[in-house]
Parts: sequence; C-alpha cells; structure tokens
Amino acid sequence: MSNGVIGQTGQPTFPAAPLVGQQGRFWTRARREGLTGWLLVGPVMVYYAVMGLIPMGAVVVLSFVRWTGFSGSPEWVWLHNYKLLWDFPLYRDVFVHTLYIGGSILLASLAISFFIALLLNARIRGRGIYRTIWYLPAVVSFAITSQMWNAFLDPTNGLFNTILRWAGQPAINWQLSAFWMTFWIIVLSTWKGVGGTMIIFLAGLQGIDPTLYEAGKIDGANRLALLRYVTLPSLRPVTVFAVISGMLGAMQIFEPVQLLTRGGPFDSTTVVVYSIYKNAFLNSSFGLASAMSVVFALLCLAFTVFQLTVVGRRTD
Amino acid sequence: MASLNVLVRRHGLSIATHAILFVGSLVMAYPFVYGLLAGMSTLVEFSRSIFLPIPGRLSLDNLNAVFAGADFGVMFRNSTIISAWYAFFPSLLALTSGYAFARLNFPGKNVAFLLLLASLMVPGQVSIVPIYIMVARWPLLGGNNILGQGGSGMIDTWWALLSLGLVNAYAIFFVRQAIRTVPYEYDEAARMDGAGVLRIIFQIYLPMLKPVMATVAVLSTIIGTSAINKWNDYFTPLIFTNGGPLNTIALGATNFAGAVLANGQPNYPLLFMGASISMIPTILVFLIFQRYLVQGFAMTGVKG
Repeated sequence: MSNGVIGQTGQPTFPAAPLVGQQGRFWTRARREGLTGWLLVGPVMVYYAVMGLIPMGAVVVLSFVRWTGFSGSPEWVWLHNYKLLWDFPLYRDVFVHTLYIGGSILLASLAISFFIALLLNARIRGRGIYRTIWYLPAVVSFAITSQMWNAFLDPTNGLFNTILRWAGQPAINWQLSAFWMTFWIIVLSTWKGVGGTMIIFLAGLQGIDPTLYEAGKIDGANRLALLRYVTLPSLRPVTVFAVISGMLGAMQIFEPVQLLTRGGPFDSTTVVVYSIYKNAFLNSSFGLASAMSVVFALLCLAFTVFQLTVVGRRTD
Repeated sequence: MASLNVLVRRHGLSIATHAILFVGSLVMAYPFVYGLLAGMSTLVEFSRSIFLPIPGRLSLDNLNAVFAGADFGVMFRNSTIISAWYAFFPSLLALTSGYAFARLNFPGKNVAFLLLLASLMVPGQVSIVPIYIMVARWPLLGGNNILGQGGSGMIDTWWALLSLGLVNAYAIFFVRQAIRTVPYEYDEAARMDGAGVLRIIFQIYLPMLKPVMATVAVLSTIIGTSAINKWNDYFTPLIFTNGGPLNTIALGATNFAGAVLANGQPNYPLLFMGASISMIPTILVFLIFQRYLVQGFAMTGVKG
C-alpha cells in the first residue's frame, strides 16, 4: 500500500501513520477513519444511551421514591423500599425462589445439553434430525408452550393425570401443590432451554483442534482421558458463555409463572421478574418494583463478574 | 450368539448413543406431536385419549373454529411485520457497528464497546419501569404535549412495538467476533481497489458472514431481536399494548387458549389447534435456516 504498511499482516493495533505527503493536512487517514467509525457507531451509542443507560440510572433513582406511576407525584422515601424488601419475608422469598428455581433450571439444562452435545458431536447417522428435534422447543413461544402445559396439568382431563389414572394411580391436583408446580416450572423451562445451550456446546466442540485428540491417542489416552484432558479444558470459554447466558435466561423466567401459577400456590413460585411486573403494573408500586430491579441487577452482575473473573479467567 | 456379542462389543457405544438420543428425542418432540393431534381431534376423541389423541378423520372444523374465535389473521400479520422489522434493522446496525468495532480505529472505541457489553451482564427487564414511564411520557406522541403530559405516549401504538430494543449488544458482539476471524488482507485489497467502508461491509463482509447474519437476524434464541424471538415475544406486547388491533401471536394465541370454553370447561382441542398453528411459522423458518445455526455460532468465536 502507498503509505508504507505493505508488510503488515493482521489488524493494525494502532492508527496507521498519516501519508508522508499529507503531513499538515487536517484530514489525515487516522482522522478520516475516526470520523467513519463514529458515523457508524454514533447513532447506535446515542440510541443505547437513551434506551439503555438512562433507564438503568433512572431505575436507581426511582427505587428511592414512593409512586403509583401516574396519579400524584413521586415522594422521596430514601431507603424505605429496600427496607420493605428486607423486612417482609414475602419479598425476601422472591429472591430465594428465583435462585433455586433458576439454579435448578440452569444445572439441569447445562448437564443435559452438554451430554447430548457430546453424543451429537460423534459421526452418527441421523445426527441432523436429532439436533433439529432437540432444538425445536427453543424456537417456539414460551408463552404458548406454557399454555399447553396448563392443559397437561388440568386436574380432570389433563394429560399427566390421564396417564396417572391409566397407571392405576390416584390423580394429583397439581395446581394446589407448591412442590409440584415448582417441579413442573423447572421441567418446562429445562425442556424449553436445553436446545439453546446444546447449540453453544456443539459449536464449541466443533471448534476443538482435532490434532489434540490425535496427539492424545498417540500418548495412549482412552476416551475418558481424552474427555478429561482435551475436551473439558478446550470448552472452558464456551462453558463460561453458556453458564452466563443460561443463568440470565433462567433467572428471567416469566411466562410459565404468569401463565401457569400467577406466582402461587401461596406465592411459592413468585420469581423476581414476575414480582417486578406485578408490583409495577398490577399494584402500581413503581418504587418498590424499582428497588427489586436494582437488587436483582446487582445479583446478576455479581454472578456474571464472578463467572468471568474467577471461573473464566480468559475472556474475549 | 457369538457374533451378536462381537457386534455389541464393537458397536455397543454407538447403539447406546442411538438409544439415548432416540428416547430423548421422543420426549422432546412429544408435546408437539400431542398438541398437533389433539388440535385435530373432536372433544369426544380428546377426552377418550390417553397418551396420544387419535383424530378419527382429517377435518378443518377446529381450524375454522380457531379463526372464528379470535382474530388470528390480524395477529399473524402484526407478528410478521414486527419479526421482519427486527430481523432487518437491528441486524443492519449490528453489521455496520460490528464492523466499526472490529476494524476501524476511533477515539473512545474501547469505552463505547465496554459500555455496550455491560448491558449483557444484567437482564433487560430490570429497567422495565423507567422504560415504561419513558414510553408513556414520550413527547408529542399519543396525545402527549411537548412535556410528555396529557396522553398515553407510545403506549398501545406501533411505536412501542417497533422502536424499543433496536440495539442489541449480543448481535454487535457476535458480528464483531466473526469479522475479527476474517484476515485483514480482504480490507486492504478492497481499499487498494478504491472501495469505501460501506462497500467493504456490504459487498465483501456481508456475503462472507451469511451464517452469522442468519443466526443474528433470524435464528438465535439468545439475541432478543432475532425474528424467532420477536415472534415469540410475550412481554413487550403484554406491557405496552392492550391487544386489540395491535395483538400479536404470542400474546393473542395465549389469551385465546385461556378463553375458549366448551360446557364451562376449556375447549382443549381448540386450544391445541391455536397453539399449533401459532408455532408453525417459527418451526418452518428454523427448518429452512437451520444449516446456518451451528456454523454461525462457530464463526462468532464462541468456540474452544
């Protein structure tokens, strides 16, 4: 190239030097590139500031007020909303439910999807069909599948009780049992989420350098040793990604709670996003919903940073 | 018998693999098959069934009843418009800004990129309260004055359905990662031929990034703005619209399923028919584009 970077390969990590003949001119190559960069990125950043950053700041401010949202004006109450969250088991438990429901979904999805991805990574017949079927639940509406589950759980002619009766067992009134509704929400969400995680693991497995396996085999490693010393370490960055996106997904579940239980029975399945929705839009407690959002955001942030720094170490 | 033993020993692992995958696939597909068959059954056939309802004959009665019971035509149209718009515009932004983050040097680039990435660390719903207030108080829309008072802003308008969440950090991140795996010589060669940045993006990178763009625009379930995710989006229309002429499939079919009755009981065959037809478009789109999915993820650098 004319500006003397002929030998350069890869990306420049530093703005290329201005052309010798252009010294003294304002529009150097670096300045032109900077302008182009901001023309492309600027609108995105402005939009992101208005729709992303400002609301994030505003939710912190709103968490210090008591406000019904529309009538009347906000009343500054300092930490009152946070005190409510702390004092009432009703609100405290929302976070506990989210952690164990979300945690169960995450662990079940990770274990199943990793196992299935390992099986699907082998050259077996019908692999494409299996992959398609395992991914299908991920591409359909969570709300509509939740409504289908509602039909399955019908106490009189729902699928699950029909099967129980067929097997000679007494029918169960699922909707009245905290244990069973928690169980079904976890099962439904895992069924729905396992395909998305599986695709991430599959992509990761296909990115592993095959020569690593060859070298391992020459050294006399068996299948288990290859899994332990080649596959698992190579999948570390993918796993961090799968855990973070899976965790955020599992903690955000809303549709099954809204459509199957409305948080019940006895608030046993009330999770954070459902509670934020209920407090803000059904109970008109914008301040309380905001305080809950802030605590939830901090929890997610702590978890993500922990994953990236302690577990992940290497990120890109 | 001896030969069977040899067979099992040699292929045992592969038989076990097939058995696990096959049984697992039956479990994963079961709700879909059940829903489709139940959707074609009559009430009597449905109530007599155990594992799978078997429709006695193929008829369009349930389908017609579903379309008579709710405005599925309007819902399909609205969801198509929303999905198409989100497949197009956020992906376009992701492509251009992803290129800038991957290849151009400009002041403040790293800060801007880190700010974007920060949004991936918390779920989007945490700022739903301020966003709702902003949407409802948007000046000069929906009867609002310049100060955002007096009307309902973007609530219950197309603005709320088409103007929120247009910038997706995951999409930008994926495109940037994919572009970084392409050798820089492509840029240099194109520049020597006198191509500008837009030409490089659309004529050189876009064709190369087809699997990534298909993943970002249509297929991904992680990226909130992908067409499949917008088709399935229940939260946005629930919060920002009152249904009616703006009803979408995810909201409308769900409400429909809760509302159809037969003798005071939910009419389950109609519910399953409504659910099945609302799922068919995303399943078809997925089947058409799926060959890009693993390839797309692999190209984004989400790999070992």
